[in-house]
Amino acid sequence: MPTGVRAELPEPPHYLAEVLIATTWECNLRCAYCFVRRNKLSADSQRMSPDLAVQVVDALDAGLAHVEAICLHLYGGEPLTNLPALEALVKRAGEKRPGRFRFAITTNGAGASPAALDLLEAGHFQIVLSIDGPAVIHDECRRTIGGAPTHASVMHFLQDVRSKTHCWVRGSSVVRSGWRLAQADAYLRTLPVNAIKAQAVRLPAGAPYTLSEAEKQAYLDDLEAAGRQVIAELEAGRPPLDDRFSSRVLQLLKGTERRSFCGAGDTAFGITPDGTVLPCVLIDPATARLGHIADEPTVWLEAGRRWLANRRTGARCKKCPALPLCGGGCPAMMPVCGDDECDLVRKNCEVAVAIYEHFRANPIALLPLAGIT
Amino acid sequence: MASVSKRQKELILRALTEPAFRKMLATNPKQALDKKRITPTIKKEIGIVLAIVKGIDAQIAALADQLLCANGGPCGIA
Repeated sequence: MPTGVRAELPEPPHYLAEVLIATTWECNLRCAYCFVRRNKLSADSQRMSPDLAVQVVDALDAGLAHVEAICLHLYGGEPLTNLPALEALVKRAGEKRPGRFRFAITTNGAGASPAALDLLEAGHFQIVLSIDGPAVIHDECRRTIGGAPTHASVMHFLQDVRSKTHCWVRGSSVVRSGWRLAQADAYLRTLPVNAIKAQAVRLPAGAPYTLSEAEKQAYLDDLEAAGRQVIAELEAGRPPLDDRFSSRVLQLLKGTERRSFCGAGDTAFGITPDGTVLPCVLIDPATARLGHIADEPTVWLEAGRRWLANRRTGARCKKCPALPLCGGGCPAMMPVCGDDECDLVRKNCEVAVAIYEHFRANPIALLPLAGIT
Repeated sequence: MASVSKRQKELILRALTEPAFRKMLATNPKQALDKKRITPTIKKEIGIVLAIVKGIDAQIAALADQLLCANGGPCGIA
């Protein structure tokens, strides 16, 4: 599919590493389609202690000497239910070289306290806020443990973030049976956010809320429409609000080939509440445990490289024209979603190519995809 | 978001797509830009261009198109 490939990705030394940290698997919500709740990890009720959080920052600082900056992406579970760990991470990171650490968080925003807002501001967090749609859509799936709706409290959180912090916010919606991508995109565009992302629910075929075949086709059609919207925004000289295609279009512009789906095991890691280091926080530790954060960093770094080196490109992937843009699929999702995941990623790649081709004669027009205007 | 001049955009594009030019810009800017002297202003401009290109590299490598990623993050989970 991509043409004009000139090199492979990534080229060391790396600029940015992203480490997904689950400070807890506990969550204040019980969303009907939650992927994490189906993961064996979520049965672990352990919470990361502040001492361990400090150890995490120190170990990453020492171990990831080959990258300039490290993004600590708090995940879970609901990270705002473990504020002591969050506070310890932010405080310790603030003691390191300026610019060494940055923060992101994926949160449901429900029931966040003023103290949480203060910490988000202190860490200059990039916030991925889960908000599916209007109340009738959101509240159908996203409810508290006690069954209470959460749309109103999430909107209140968003207003607080906007009025009391300088945090960057991505509105994030889960597309599911009965709620299509075009609707989710349109809703997210009404919110006071910096970027949007709506994506199909990640569940095995046949599970509740999984897209039907007809809905899946509609999703693919909506992805094409999202691509046309990106083209329109770029023609107007604006960065697209929906940036799902940006990295692949820029990859085409640079003319590079992707050797793996992401940096898992190399520039991306996952850390569980007990300090276990994984290639990604949602990969089964039974198959991919790299070590513990208390180990010498070379232990989990070398294990990560071995894990990466041992990953094999499947026979089907080798025949797929999207492979140079895809890199072989998400190692956490492929075992769960299989062919469905492939179809969606392939369409993403096709739309990225269409965007790139549209601006082939005027490539400078693509730079807003990198935030350059 | 970075707002840059048209000339800087051209340099960014060239540095992104021509590895040899990018290397020369970093190691021998006089030759890269065909200038007899690199003024402090040009030196600063080169620094900005190289930093932006490095950021684009990170964005590409990290694969930011998945649902839960904040900014160049790797996850493909929902």
